Amino acid sequence: MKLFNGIVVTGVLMLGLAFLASRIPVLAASETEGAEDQEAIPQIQEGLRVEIKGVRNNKGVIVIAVFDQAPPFEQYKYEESIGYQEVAAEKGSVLVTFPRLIDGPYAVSLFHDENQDSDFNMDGSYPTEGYGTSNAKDSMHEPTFDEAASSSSHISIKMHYF
Amino acid sequence: MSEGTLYQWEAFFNDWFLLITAVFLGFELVRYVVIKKFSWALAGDAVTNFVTQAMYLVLSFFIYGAFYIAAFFYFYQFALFDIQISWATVLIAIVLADLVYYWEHRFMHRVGIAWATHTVHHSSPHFNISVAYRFGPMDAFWPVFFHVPLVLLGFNPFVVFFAEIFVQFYQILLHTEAIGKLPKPIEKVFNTPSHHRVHHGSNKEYHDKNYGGIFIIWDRLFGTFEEEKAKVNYGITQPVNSINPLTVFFHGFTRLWTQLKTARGIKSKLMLLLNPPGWSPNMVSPREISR
Repeated sequence: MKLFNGIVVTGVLMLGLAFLASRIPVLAASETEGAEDQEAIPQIQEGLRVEIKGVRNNKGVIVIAVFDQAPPFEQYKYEESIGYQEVAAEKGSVLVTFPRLIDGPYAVSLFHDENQDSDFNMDGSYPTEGYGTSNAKDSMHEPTFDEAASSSSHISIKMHYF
Repeated sequence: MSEGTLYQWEAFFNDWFLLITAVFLGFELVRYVVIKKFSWALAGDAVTNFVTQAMYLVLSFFIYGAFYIAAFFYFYQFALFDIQISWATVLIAIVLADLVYYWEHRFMHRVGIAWATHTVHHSSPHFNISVAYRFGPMDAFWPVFFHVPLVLLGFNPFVVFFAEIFVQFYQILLHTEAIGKLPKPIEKVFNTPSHHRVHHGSNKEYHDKNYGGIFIIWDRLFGTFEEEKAKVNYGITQPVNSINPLTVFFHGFTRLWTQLKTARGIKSKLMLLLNPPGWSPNMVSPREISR
């Protein structure tokens, strides 16, 4: 094949495959956490419901904080949250409601305080307790406030354990 | 799939590949002894390979690294498409990184100034996994120009960087004589030790062939494919004949410099930089040459 033709074919392949790649989240939308299908339904004033999935045992409490501002969320300043609860951990799923949080968007950060020392325990740089954030794509993802914030009144969060 | 996951995978590759390589090299050295091909020059050459890698990494880290990061993040602003990070899009990025690598590699062979650095990799008269680590002073410079288009298309800079590294790591495994031809379907699609032996051959029919990284399909498509038939002689047309790491590392530029000094006139000097290796001012047309 002539050099010029080769370059043209390459250009077409690059544009074509990049375009295909850009369409992919459209097909996989249902996989992302914090599905926002609730927005079409008129909001009933019952506040924010957070469903925590994948809790590994009944030990200790789940510490959960809701933020409407980026800086305290990104710095894990739970004392500056607009919603804060500690609920008993239950293996499997736990539902936490914040009846007064009716606006949004909100970003949620939580961890599984198994030993109830009010601290998120780590071994060096590896967490020893469970953790979760709204709209986190996987266990290594630390979303920014804009990525984590959801306008939905129902947020689903996966508890990750390292 | 997030940037964090990609970073973890990169760290994993980095840690394990060197170990896998060391073990495999050990096996290859034993094989050389068994088939009576071992020599201390060969062992010295293997050590030299790793020394050139160290020098290459130092240069990459202190000089090219900043250039890379700056270029990627600067051009990402002009991204054409909005491409999310997921397993599927990372796979597509790897395929495209392999496609651009084909052209980058072909460029390194056919343009004098780029060959000056890439010749280092091809200059060993031996072929074993240590050769995979034999690199030249500007090997990390040229890839940027070929990978920026991927960032411009909309792939996240971390993804492009990961894809590029994946394409490189795959090729480490190809540098061996110990693995013969694989089943036909694999040889048809993927780059294999057999295809890569041809690429490293100084046999006339093997010059400028099989540029592929992971896939050999680009060579088949663009007409640069060659099947392994005759026994491969490894190295370059004019051997380096040295295991001195500094001599080896800079020999491409040393030779180019000598040629530039003897060439008369600006046009000849420019042609030396742009034309394929083997061109000299006495020749009529660069089209006639292959390495």
